[in-house]
This record gives sequence, structure tokens and C-alpha cells, in this order.
Amino acid sequence: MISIKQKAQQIVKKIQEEFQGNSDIIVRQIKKNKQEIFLVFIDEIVNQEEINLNIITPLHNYKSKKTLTLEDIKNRAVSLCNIQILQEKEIKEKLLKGFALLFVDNDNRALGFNVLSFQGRSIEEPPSSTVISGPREGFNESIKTNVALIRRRIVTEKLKIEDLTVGVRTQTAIKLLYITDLVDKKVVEEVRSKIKNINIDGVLDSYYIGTLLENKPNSIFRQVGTCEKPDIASAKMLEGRVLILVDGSPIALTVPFILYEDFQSANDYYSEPHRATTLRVLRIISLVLSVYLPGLYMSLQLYHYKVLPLKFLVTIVNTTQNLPLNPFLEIFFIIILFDILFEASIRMPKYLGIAVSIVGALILGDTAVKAGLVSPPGVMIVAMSAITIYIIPNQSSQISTLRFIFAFLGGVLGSHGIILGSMFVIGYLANFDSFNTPYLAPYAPYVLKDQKDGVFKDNVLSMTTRPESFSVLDKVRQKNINENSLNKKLNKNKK
Amino acid sequence: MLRYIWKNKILLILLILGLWLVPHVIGLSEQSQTESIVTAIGIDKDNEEFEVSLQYIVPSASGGTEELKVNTQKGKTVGEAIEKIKLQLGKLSGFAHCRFLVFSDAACEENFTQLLDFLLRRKTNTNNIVLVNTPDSSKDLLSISTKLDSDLYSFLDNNSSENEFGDFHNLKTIGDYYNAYFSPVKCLLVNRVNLKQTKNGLKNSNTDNGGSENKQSSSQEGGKEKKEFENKGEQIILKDNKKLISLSSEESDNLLWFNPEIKRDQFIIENYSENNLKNVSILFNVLNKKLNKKAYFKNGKPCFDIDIRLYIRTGEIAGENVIQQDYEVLQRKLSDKLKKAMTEVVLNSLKNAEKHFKENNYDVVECFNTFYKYKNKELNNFLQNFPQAKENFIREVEFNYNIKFIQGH
Amino acid sequence: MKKLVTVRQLILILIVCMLTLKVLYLPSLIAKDIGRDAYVFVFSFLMFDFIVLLLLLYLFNKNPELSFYEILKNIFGTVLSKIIMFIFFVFFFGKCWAVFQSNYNYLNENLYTSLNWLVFSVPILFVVLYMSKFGVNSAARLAEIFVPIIIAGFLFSLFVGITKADFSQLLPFMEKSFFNQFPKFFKYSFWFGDYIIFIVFFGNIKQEKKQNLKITLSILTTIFLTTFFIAVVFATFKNNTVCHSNAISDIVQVLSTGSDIGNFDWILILIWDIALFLFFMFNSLGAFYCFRQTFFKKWQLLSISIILFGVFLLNVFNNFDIHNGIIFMQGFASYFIIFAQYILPVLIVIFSFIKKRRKNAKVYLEK
Repeated sequence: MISIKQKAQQIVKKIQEEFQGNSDIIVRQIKKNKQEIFLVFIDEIVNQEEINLNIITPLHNYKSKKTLTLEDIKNRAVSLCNIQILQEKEIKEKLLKGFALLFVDNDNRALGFNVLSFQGRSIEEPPSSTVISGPREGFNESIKTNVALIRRRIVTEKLKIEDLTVGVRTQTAIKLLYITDLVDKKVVEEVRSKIKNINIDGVLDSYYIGTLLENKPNSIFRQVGTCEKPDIASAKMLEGRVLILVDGSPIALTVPFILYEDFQSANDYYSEPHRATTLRVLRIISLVLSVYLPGLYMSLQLYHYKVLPLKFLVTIVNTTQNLPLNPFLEIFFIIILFDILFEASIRMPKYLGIAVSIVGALILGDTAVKAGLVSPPGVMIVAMSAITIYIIPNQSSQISTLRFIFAFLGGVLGSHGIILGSMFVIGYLANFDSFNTPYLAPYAPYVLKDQKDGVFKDNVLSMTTRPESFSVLDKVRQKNINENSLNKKLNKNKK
Repeated sequence: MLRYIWKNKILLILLILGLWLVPHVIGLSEQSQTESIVTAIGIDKDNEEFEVSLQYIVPSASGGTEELKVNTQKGKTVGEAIEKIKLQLGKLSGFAHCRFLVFSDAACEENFTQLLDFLLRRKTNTNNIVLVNTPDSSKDLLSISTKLDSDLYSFLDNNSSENEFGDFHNLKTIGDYYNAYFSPVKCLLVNRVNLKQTKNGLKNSNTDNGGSENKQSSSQEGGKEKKEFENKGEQIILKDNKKLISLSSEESDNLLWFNPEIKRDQFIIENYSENNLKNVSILFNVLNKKLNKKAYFKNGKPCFDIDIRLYIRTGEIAGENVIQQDYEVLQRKLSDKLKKAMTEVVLNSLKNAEKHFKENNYDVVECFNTFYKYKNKELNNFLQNFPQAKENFIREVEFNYNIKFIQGH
Repeated sequence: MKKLVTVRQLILILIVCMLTLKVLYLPSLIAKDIGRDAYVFVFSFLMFDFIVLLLLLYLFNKNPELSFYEILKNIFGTVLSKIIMFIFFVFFFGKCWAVFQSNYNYLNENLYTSLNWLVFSVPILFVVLYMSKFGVNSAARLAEIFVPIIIAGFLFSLFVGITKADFSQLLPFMEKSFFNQFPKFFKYSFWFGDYIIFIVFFGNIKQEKKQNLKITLSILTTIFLTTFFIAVVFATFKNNTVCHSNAISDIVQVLSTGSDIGNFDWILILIWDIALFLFFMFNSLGAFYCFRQTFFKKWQLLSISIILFGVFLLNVFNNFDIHNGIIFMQGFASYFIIFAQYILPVLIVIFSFIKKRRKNAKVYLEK
């Protein structure tokens, strides 16, 4: 701890000692009328050009006969926008956050200049949220850039941004964004208190925060929403949700979260409603196929062969005649093979990717079948199930886990097991509440007004109110203009 | 790891479930490997013993096409014979995909329900199995086909689809039999399929040893025989739990007029002359048929009016010097003379059918049922006055016909 | 804030409870006794149900915040109300027992070649036990997701039946007189009275506009459609109805006879498996609610475990044979059921009315 009213040199020495003599702590001494002024900053994370142009040069050029105080320098000498006078306890924190600190004799405070600047990723389209039409900007790791992207879309004084810091060693900056006249204050209060109560070593990604916000962190179903695009984040905020940005993470969190959100895609809102409806129905069918197909196939073969029509049954029987594995083991074997292939394709270097896909296709598609290890219907079923998982990318891990569970239940108990499993899962989800919002809204409890953005999507003109499933202060989104009255007005004006 | 499992209680439960049930499942093979897929049953009777043939699918080992095979055994009951087949095949018999039951004349001479009793007590729903009669041996009939594409089912299916030359009579199932059995009239028409052998001057010999699998065709002395299904349009009548009578194709065709479900038919007027047409035969195709039945009592006597409306189209005119012009004339308008001739032909068929079913005392035209539904009280009064009339009711009824022809395109 | 059940959820629960058992065994059973006029008797019994439901609705509307037990306490006092709750507990327990048996039988006959009773019962009991932990609200949400599927399956089956039915088979109408046959129908009382599940939701329902009208119209529509379905079953299968112990899926079989894409009936079988599970779940929750009021209010998990274990043991004792169950339900138990589902609710409503009049009279005298 630095003692009261020391010489600037001594203060700087103490800082250097605390930072264990790190070579990236730069100390710049400026002599002004026999006064020693020290500028301290961390080399890699500041904009040196800005320091030279806006701090050192003006300071040198400033003509003064008396000893300069921090206030003098702040108000008269330098030409930087973001200057703060920092107390003792803030010095270390701000230095680490990219501030250049200026010390003068007989003053334990420091003048902090926000010159934070480091190389980061540019604004790109996120890989898992591509759209055919619509904005392509995505969040990146810089929290400042992300806030700017939101500010560009929500241009109102009601947009509130709260700063929080989490992580003892990482001091990760977190920002809570919400629209004050829309959001439920209880939700904001709950989020704020939960984040403040986090006592963790370090936060490297928004996933940590998301997990710590959940009521049931061990559940396979997430209770906090994510998005990578500012337009989606803004849309969610306009529905009365709270957005959480984490420095160093391109994925923003939104609360409250309902399961049905993941079935909605940004593309739905930038294309015709009938197309959006078709795609949403397809997503639900894909979910059913991906979760149930392997289990159903197993149960039909092991317990209910009589259900299959004769020609299909004969085809299956012909191909599964001399397999060494029974259907239960065969399906699990193929699922594991597919998952191995998928994981390998993610981590494989790109130039080897083609080789992997050929080998994978040959191994699974052709050789394994010809060798009599697996049957073609089995491969087809698992392949269909595996592909349909990625139609809802945000739920892919959950669907993958459920697929295993239902395959197990189908093999062990038959179709009755699949039914019971479904009851169990839906019953479990029915009990979930995410920040006082039912998880299965707007279907359980059923909210009629929210069905216009449900499976059957309506056009923008019908979105006159915000979703009833969330507790929102202002429900009205759009005042409905009657076309006839509008035409009458236009005709009157013509006359 | 144990702590993690204890925390996630669902995982714990799945683990326990897995430990309990998975060992059983790992050893479980597909159901189709423990149960044979039976596609047809054939029942013959020989000196108080039933000879049951099961046609089942033998999947091909190398992924090619499957084969149909027939296994035959004898037993005092149908169930006993099927048990013997099970022992021979080493698999249970699965009747879930059984599509038809073929029975020979000998099998249905008395106590027909005994043939069905075993099937009806199965868990699987066997009410949709089609009944087919054959004058030949059902074993031989089932042995004809070795491929699924060319079995009796596809033969019946092709025949019963609507084509320009008429339908095969609509197929009756076990469910229909029981419906008829529990109805007041107890009559059912069942289709008949014959076995056609194209002989090459040589006798037929089968290589069966009382239970082994039959081959499709057999040969002797270097010659080959081909067996085929043959549809002569014949039927049989099952009444009072046994076969009453078999109908020739002409008699069956006559009865078709009374059937509202069979829409398409045809009839021929022979030796017809009008204008330029001299002694020609005209074939008319019936495109659609509408049948209305009305039951009433007149002076204490039951009367049954049948209104038939036929939508017809001229199919063919056969004769000398028939020119296009004449054909076109007939297409546009039916003359009164022609209508009269047509009415006579149709009426003749109807009267022949009526004569046949009155003589043999069977009611497949739903006459009694119609009275029972719509004139219940009067029927009860009539039967009270004439108690024996219930069994011979069809003979007491006076049939009246009203036929209309409408030109269709 | 207390989680409440919405009116829509309540309606869906009442529909699934009223619909589930009537479209399985009932048509084949009635065919033996009454034959083609069964739909008339089914309709009359359903109208009895509807009238008593209206009385319960009246009782609910007068005391929307109170639970059923609290209403009974206000009318009868603690001792008598506990006795009544015990009667309802036995009623719900009987329904659980019978439905559990019939679910096993249903799967064993229609879907599985052979189903081990232990493998069947343990998972289903476990899932119900798990659901009971969350309370009635979550169970209502679960029903809200699945009941529309059940209704869609029912309507599909009904429409298929209509296309293949020959309605002239229902003639002659009432060949034997209604009052001659009516006493025979009393033994089928077990299949009715499912609206009693309403008492479990007293005090737990979110008040909405026109809720009475919504409930009334929905239940009336269900009654008409169920009656129509029974008529369609008879019109489709004619004299063969006795053989079809699973009417809802057997009707669909007539559609796809010999079809290359197979029979659709197994989809209906799976859908009705869901319905049977929901019915079992709600009745066991009902039994649990009544048991709790009668005996102990604490140790909820223990209470529901005892009930479910009791159901399981009773089924094991009965050898999981539905036919024994049916004989018992049609015999002695039918009198108890008639008392519990018709006479007792009517008496409760009458007494509440009398109590209210006395209270009003007292207040008037005091004034």
C-alpha cells in the first residue's frame, strides 16, 4: 500500500515492485519546470500514438511557471477526452484495464487516461447464425464494440447500461443492458444480485456467467439464452429481456429464456411469413426425427415388428440377416462412430478435411455395410438423426444427449419406454421457470396472443403487442393502422 | 465421478435402469428372427384331419430378394398342425402380416368356424385376413408363388382394382364372415380362385413328404409344368357355418347386379337390329351403378323394390358392315327399342339370380336385413303369424325391379 | 406468487379424463349386453356426468379461493369432511388400479408380443412419482402439451370411421325399450364420472372471463363427439364389435387394409398410451390429494409412494388381469361408484345450499 503524500518517483517504484518488475510496465518521465511527472502504462494494451499525440506532446508544449497539479493537467494541459482522477485503490485496476496513469509529487492520486487499444477480431458474420437476407454483423470479443453495435440499433435514452466486474484474477467486465420502460425490474434485480454474488477466480467466456445465473446448473437444458448477433439481441431487448455482455466473449446472454426461442431463427423475421412457418414446422419435425428415430427403429425391430408394413419389413430383414450385433448394439455403435467423425472433423486441420470426409464416408457408408458389421437401414436412420440435430444449432448438445437417452429407452423398454421418457422430459420442462417465465411458454401455459409468432408465424403488421409470456411494462409495440382509413386519408390529400 | 452421479439423480436412475435391463437387451435378437413372417394360410381337410399349409417368407442371406416357402403339416385341429409347423421351422408363427386364408371345398363342408378359431384367439388382429376358396388343394395354390411380387395377394389386388373390364368381386375377410355369422341371414359370398396347370403332356408329381417344403414347379420325365392362378369369376356361399353351394361365373355375375359396391360391369345385347345395324352384338360398359332398395309390406306380403340406375357407355359393336356413323349415333342417344332390349337383358340376369337364391334359400342381397332395419315392427308381426317364414324369408319376398339407363362418357 | 392452473388446462384435463377409457374397451363390452343402441345409454350417462359437473362448477364459483376440503369443512365440519375425502380417495384409488391394469393389458395385446409386468410397472410408477413432486400445476402443463395430440388422434379416428361406417346398421332404433335395458347399463358406471377430477383443482384455478361458458361448451362438445364415436364404432364393425376391444385404433385399421405403407393404428395406440398415462397420473394425484387431507399433510413423497405401491401390489395380487378387474367393477363396486360420483356430489351441493340459506337467514335475523 502506498503511503500518504509521497514523491511521484517513489509511487512509481512501488508500482513496479508490485508488478514484479514486468518488462511491459513502461514508465515515462517528463520534466516540467523542475517538476517530475511520471507516466505509467502497460505497453501491449495501450495506443502509444494517442499517448504521444494527446498526452506527452501537449504536456511538453504547455507553458506554465508554477508546479502543475493533476487538475491543471486535466483541465488545461492535455487534449484527451476520457480523463479521470483516480484514487489510490483504483490505480492498479485501471492500469490493468489499459489506462495510462500520470503521477505528480505530493499527490497519491493519479490522472488516468483511457487509451485502451489492442488487436481484436473485426466484426464478422457468426458461423452458427448465418442468414440468407438480413444483417450479417456479429458480436466480437470486445465489449466496447458490442455495446456500440447495440447502441446503433436501440437509439433511446431509456437504454440502460450497467457495469459490473466479475473474476478475482481476470476482472472481467460485464455489462447489463435493458430498456428501462419495458423490462421487469424484478428480473434486473435478480440478475444483478446473482452476478454480484459470483465469487470466482476467473471468467473467460459468457458461458461461465450463464451457468452461474441458472437455477439448475446441472440440467441438460439451458435456462439462459444466447445470441451472437446484435439484431437478434436488440429484438430480444425490445421484447423486454435483459442482455448481458461479457468482455472477451462474442456470445451475449439474454434472460428470461424460453425453449421455443431456439426454434426461431433470424431468417424468419427477414423473409415471408409462409416461408418462416414452413421452416418452423420443419424444425419441429427435425427435432422429433433426431430425438426419436434411433429409439423408434430399435423398438420396432426388437418388440413391435408387426407394426412395420410387409415390404419394408422384408427389406429390413433381408439386410439385417447375418449381422453380428443385435439392433441395440448396432445403433449405439453407429451413433458413436458418427459422433467420433463429427468431433474429428471439427478439430482436423482444414487441408486434411477432405481426406477425413472420404474416409468417414467409406468407413460408415460402404465398407462397414459390406463387411456385414452394420445394416444400411441402421446407417440411414442414424445419419438422418445426426443431420437433423443441426437444424436447431443452439439445442444441438441437448438434442444429442436426448437422442442417446431415447435410443436407450427404446431399446430397453420399447415404444412404451419412449412414451414414458417423453412424459418425463416434458414434465421436467413444465416445471422449469426461467426468471419467472414458464419455460414452455407460449404452449404451456398456452398464450393465444403469442401464437402469431409461434409455429405459424404472422407478418410484421400483426406484431402489435409484445409477447404476453414475459412480464413487460409496456405491451404495445405497434399501433395498428387500418389500411382503409389510410387510403381515405391519402385520397383526401390528393383532392 | 460418484458424487457427480449422485448430484444428477436422473443419471443415477438411468444407471440403475441400465444395470437392470441392458443385460437382457444385449442378448435380445430381432423379433423377425424368432418369429416367422407368415403371409398366407392354407387349410385342407382329409378324413377328419386338417392339413394346414403356412406360406412364410425366407429372407435372402446376401441381401437379394426374398423367397416364399410353404410348409405343410397335418393335425386333428388347425392349432395342432400349426404347432407341428412351429417345431419343424424352429420359429414361432407370426400372423401379423398374414393376408389371406385359402380353404378348399372339403375344409368348409361343415363347421367352418373351426378353421378360424385358432386365428381369432391370437393377440394380433386377424379380422382383416381375406378368405379365398379353391376347388383344388390350398397347398398347391400357395406353392405357385415363390416371390412376394407374384403371390396370390398381388393377383387378387390387381384383379380387384378398377379397370375397364370389370372388377373381381370385392374381397371378404374373416371380420366380414363373423359379421354375417351373427347377422339374421348368416350368409356370405366368398371368392374362388382356381389352379391352372399348363400341362406339356406329362403328369404332375410333387416331391412332398408330408411336411417338407413344396417347390413351385416340378418335373417328370424331362417336361416342365407351369402353375398359375386362375380367376373364373366363381364364388361360393357360406351359410350356417358351412358351404352351401358354389356359384358358376355366370351365376356370380348375375348376383353382381345386386351389389351396390361393385360399380363397374358390362353386358351384351345379341342379335340386335335397328336402322343400319343388322344382327349385331353390342357390348355396354357400366361406368357407375346406383342401387336403392326399398322394403315394405303390401297386403301382409313382404315386397322388395330395387331401383337400379346404370350409367353406361357403348363399348363395342360386333357385326358385319358396322360403320363409324352407326357407332356415333349410338353414342349420342339411346333409342327406345335399344333401351327395351337393354332392360330385358339386365332384367333377365336379375330374375335368374333371384330364381337361384330363392331356390337355394340364401340371402346375400340384404333383403332380410333391410326389412329388419326399416320395417322392424311389421316384420315381427309377419314372423309371429308365420314362424317358419324366418328361415325361408327370401322365398316369401316379392321382388320388383326398376331399371334406368343413363348415357355416360 | 402461487402458480395457478388456467381454465384451458382444466378443460384439457377434463377432456382427456372423460375420453380415455370410453373409446377402448367400453364399446366391445356394451356390445355384449346392449348392442347397437349403446350410444343412447352412453349419452344419457354422460349427461348425468355433465349435470353433476355443472353442480360442482356452481360450488366452485361460489368459493373460488377455497380448496375442496376447505369447502367441505365449512359445510360439514372436520370429521365428516375427512370421511368424504376418504370416500373420494377410495374412488380415485380404484380408478388408478383399474387404469394401471388396463394399460398393461392394452400394451400387451396391441403392441408387445409379451411384456414383463415388472418392466412395465416400475418405470411408469417412477415417472408418476417424479411428476407428483412438482405439483398439479406442472402436471397441468404436461397435459396442455399432449392433450391436443390426443384430441387430434381421436378426431382422426372418428373421421376415418365416418368414411367407412354404415349408419343403417344402427337401425332399428331402440328395438328394446330404453327403460328395460337401462338397469343393465348401471354396471358400466365405472367408465363414467371422470369429471370428479375437478375437485382436485378447487382453489387452484386462475379466474378468467366466461370460464363457465368455456367449460360448459367444451364438455358438451366432448360428450357429443364421444357418443358419436360409439355410434360410429357400431356402424363400422356391426356385429363384430365384440371382438374389437381397442376401438380407437381398430377403426383406423379399416382404412389401410392391405396398404403398402402399413396400418396407421399403431400411431393411435401410442397416442392412447399417452392418454392412459395422463389419466393414471391425474387420478393418482387425486388419490394423493384426498389421502393427504384425510391422513397426513406432511411427508408428501411418502404418501404418494404408499399410494403407488398399493396400486402396484393390488395389481400383482390380481395377476395383472383386466378381466378380473372388469368383473369386480361391474359387480359390487358399481354401487359404490354410483354413490361416489353422482349421489355424493349432489348431496354436497344441496347441503352447501342449505348451509348458505341458514347463514343468510341468521345474518338477516341479526340485522
